[in-house]
Amino acid sequence: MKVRNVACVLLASVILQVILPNVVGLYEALRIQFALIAVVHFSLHEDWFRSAMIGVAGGLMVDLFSGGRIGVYALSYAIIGMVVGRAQERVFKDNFLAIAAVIVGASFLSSILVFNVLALYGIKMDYLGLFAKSVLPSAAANAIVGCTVFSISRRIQDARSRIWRGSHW
Amino acid sequence: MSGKRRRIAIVVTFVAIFVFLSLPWSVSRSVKGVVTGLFTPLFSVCRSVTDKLSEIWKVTFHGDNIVRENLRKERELLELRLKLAQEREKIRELSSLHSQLEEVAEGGFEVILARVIGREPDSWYQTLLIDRGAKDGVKNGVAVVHGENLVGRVIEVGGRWSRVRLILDVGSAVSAVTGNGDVPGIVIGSGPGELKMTLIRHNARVKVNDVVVTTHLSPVLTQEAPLPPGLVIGKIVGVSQEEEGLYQSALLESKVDFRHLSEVLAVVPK
Repeated sequence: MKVRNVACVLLASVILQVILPNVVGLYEALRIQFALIAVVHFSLHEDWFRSAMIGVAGGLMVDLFSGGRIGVYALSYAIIGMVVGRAQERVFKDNFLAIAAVIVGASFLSSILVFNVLALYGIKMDYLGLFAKSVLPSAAANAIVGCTVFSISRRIQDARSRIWRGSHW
Repeated sequence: MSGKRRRIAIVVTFVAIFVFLSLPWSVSRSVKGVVTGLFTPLFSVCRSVTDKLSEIWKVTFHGDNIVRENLRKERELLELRLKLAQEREKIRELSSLHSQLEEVAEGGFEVILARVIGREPDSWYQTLLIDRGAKDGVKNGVAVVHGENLVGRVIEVGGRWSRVRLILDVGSAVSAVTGNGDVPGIVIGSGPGELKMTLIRHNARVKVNDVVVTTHLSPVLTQEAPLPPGLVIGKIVGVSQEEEGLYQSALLESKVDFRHLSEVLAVVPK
């Protein structure tokens, strides 16, 4: 996968993440993490090292647009990229339930990592309350959007491979 | 890349992340300011497009094109209410002759209308981006309101943009008093959509439905600039009394619909 394409997708995801809650105000604590979905998507197709690097890039972009310190999401997404990149060979990518499970797992892991990093800076939150109000609905939304993205991406890939085969037959 | 080199690269990357994390807040803020400034025009364009679409939708299906007019009226009303609140505050505190209060009362405020062009990408922080900045007269620390209700405080200012920390954010702390002005406390964000008034004297009489408003005093702990007095923060919906504690706390509910904020007002001291 070309670095430029990955960077463009990550940037577009973060911009969408900033703009969308402004347009569609469904529920204050619900945030669809497009950047996280993109990181998981790429990590399921790359090795652990590239996945970690993609995670760092995606996380840094989120950090730059967020109200907190730089590095919180970079650290979180790098670890997620590395974990998903390591486990990608064991994930059956044709099964949407498996993909949804990976995205939900990544959302939970991200929340735990961010929560702990913020706690190190003295920002105390009620994790269980936040989990019920924000993390859980956001993870469910991420899974739905993530599976849709996977489905679209697979169709595009199929169409491209059909065109490629047609031109080489 | 060989396995050893990869491991070294990963270690270097993580060290770099920890360096970023330990950067002073001012450095972090200025780096982010540059990036936010670059993308503000894009956010503004997106906002204009969605506003136009929503206007077309409203005019076509609801015939509702008086929203903007209402906002103008709201602005005028707010200016009058602010003046009134200042006068009340002046009368209440006249005996103590606070020099700070005099300054606020004589200075007055300028109200700047701003559009919300972006939100926090995740729900850990509660901030929003507005399309007015230093060039429009917005300053760091000023109050941002919707109607007469407090929305938050400006924490970062760029040329044509500002970042507002909502009162719901866990890092937010606002000096407050109950409507009749005799029970002081600090209002903090305590999770998504929740507001809590803390440090209320143990023997103070607070009850459900009491309105909580801002006061001119700034929280000593946060050392933030004082807000204009009399802005409504919320209504008390629950009080928790601790038997042996020194303080009591109250849960508040704001009138502001934070999900659908499209335009806000920045209240800048003159």
